[in-house]
Amino acid sequence: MKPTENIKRLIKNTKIKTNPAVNEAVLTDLLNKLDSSENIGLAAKQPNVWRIIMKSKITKYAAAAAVIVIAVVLSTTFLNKSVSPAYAIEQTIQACKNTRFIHFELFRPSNTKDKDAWLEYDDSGQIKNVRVNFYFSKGNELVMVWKQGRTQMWDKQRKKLQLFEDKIYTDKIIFFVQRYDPVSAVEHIQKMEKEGKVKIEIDEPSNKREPIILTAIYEPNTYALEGPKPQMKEVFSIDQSTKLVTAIELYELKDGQYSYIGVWKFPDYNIAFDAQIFNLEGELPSDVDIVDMMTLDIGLEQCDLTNEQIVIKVVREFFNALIAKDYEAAVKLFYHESPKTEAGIRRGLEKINVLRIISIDKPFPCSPMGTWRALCILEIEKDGQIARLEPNDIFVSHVLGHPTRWAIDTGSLGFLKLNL
Amino acid sequence: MLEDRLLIWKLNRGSKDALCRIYEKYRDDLLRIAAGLLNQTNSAEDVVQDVFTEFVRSAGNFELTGSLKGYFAVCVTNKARNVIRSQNRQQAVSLDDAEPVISNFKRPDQWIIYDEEFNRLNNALAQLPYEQKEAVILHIQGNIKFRDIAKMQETSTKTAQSRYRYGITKLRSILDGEAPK
Repeated sequence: MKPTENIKRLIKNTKIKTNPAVNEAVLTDLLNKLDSSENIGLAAKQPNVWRIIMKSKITKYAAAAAVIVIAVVLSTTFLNKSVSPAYAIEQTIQACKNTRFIHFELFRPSNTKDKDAWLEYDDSGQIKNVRVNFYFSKGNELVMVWKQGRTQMWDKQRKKLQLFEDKIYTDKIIFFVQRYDPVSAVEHIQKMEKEGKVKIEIDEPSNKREPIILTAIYEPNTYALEGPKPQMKEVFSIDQSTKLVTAIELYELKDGQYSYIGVWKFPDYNIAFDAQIFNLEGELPSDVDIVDMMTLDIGLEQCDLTNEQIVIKVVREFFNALIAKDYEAAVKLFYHESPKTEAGIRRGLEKINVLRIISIDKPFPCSPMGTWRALCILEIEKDGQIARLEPNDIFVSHVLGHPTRWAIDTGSLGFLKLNL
Repeated sequence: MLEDRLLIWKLNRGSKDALCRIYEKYRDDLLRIAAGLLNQTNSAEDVVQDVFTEFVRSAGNFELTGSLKGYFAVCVTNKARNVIRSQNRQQAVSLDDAEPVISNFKRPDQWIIYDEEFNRLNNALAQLPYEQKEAVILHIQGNIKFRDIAKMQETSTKTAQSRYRYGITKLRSILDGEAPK
């Protein structure tokens, strides 16, 4: 047995290695936050002002008076709520009708910005260009530009640009636009209400400076394009004078209570963007790796199989390839975004010695993005012993750029630490 | 300790150098604690980034009462518990799931690079009951006193000490069992 002290030393002294690029990205993000911090200097300049004020007797009387005034104002507000709502959704549809440019931003509950989106419509009201900037933790940023069916996806940290044309992806873009672009979002919830999938409530305060609150409650599994979803709630804030949507808050039902997910804010309507915003060429660094997904040969054709059948087929063929040590076939069934990563995936897959597939359960969709999950049991050989392996992270999804093909998803087999 | 107080004083006045120094000084320790508590790389990394972000937000009126490392360790522990709690409730629906535009691209780069020794220790820690693991990690890696661990775990100091002892004994047996015979 190792002495206890050795164990303590091991725990205390085991070093951790970190990715220098992520270290720097996180630090840069923190420094930016420090820059924008409003607290800086306040404490240094006026450390005791608040305390001094609150200790004063006059302040205490003033605070009591303020409470009374607030109570009176609140009660007046509530009493005036009996006025019947005059607002109708059509007013917002009318107000948005000729909008050609929309910029909106998504904030998470922590108030950090999660996405920026820019939409441009053509003269006939059809969506023409979309750009979404995704801001991830650890400073990574991904930019997606969609122009009439063709998509460019730029991963800034990995210096990689993917190009693809994919009907399923286009459907998702259109759905995304319908969901959050206020021009069509209100039409979308109206349509869903008629289909009995959404309940709408409108609260129009008598105080004209307060926004109209339109609440849309989605029945379970109706919120996303596909895949399971709990009951969802969207709360639209609508400006009383312009009738334009200023924000959409998102909630999901968890344990009987609505849990706040984030808020879309619409800072400006119909302010024309610089055309270059939809043209990544000017922003790309010279060393970016450009991958045309249409040229990659990945995954299995669905043919006339159902989604469930093709998912099982992909999982079976993938593990059969590993059993046969046919790594070329296995890598072809494992979704990847560049031929350069194939050697790393292969090295990862070689770490597992699969002897046979014991069972594959009925797969099920597990995300609104069309990813399916398959639970299976494998017999493997490890350290000379035969063991059972029940990986709980086997995911199968469409191949980007090849919507009729399916492959094992990148998030699968995390324990192998595949070099992607 | 004195250096930390000076760094906090400077940070409260907006010093970027102070923030860089604090980040460099405690980043790895916090990642180690979070990885040990959660045994999930992504969640552990997110927890540490959140702790630093909240720390920066409080710059300007941050008051240090004990050790800065202890403060960070407690923040990481509290956030790790929240992660575990939310996972236990049900698989969280993230904002990315809430709309369908993200698809088929990889997660951002990993922050922690696992080597064999770190993996081995974390795999052993993962086999301990959570309270024991927490007591071991906080006491050894976070330098937190048993009295304070007991407060966090809402138990007596004796129980916190027992959890620590059981945890160490179990770790010893797990790591011994792995040793070549």
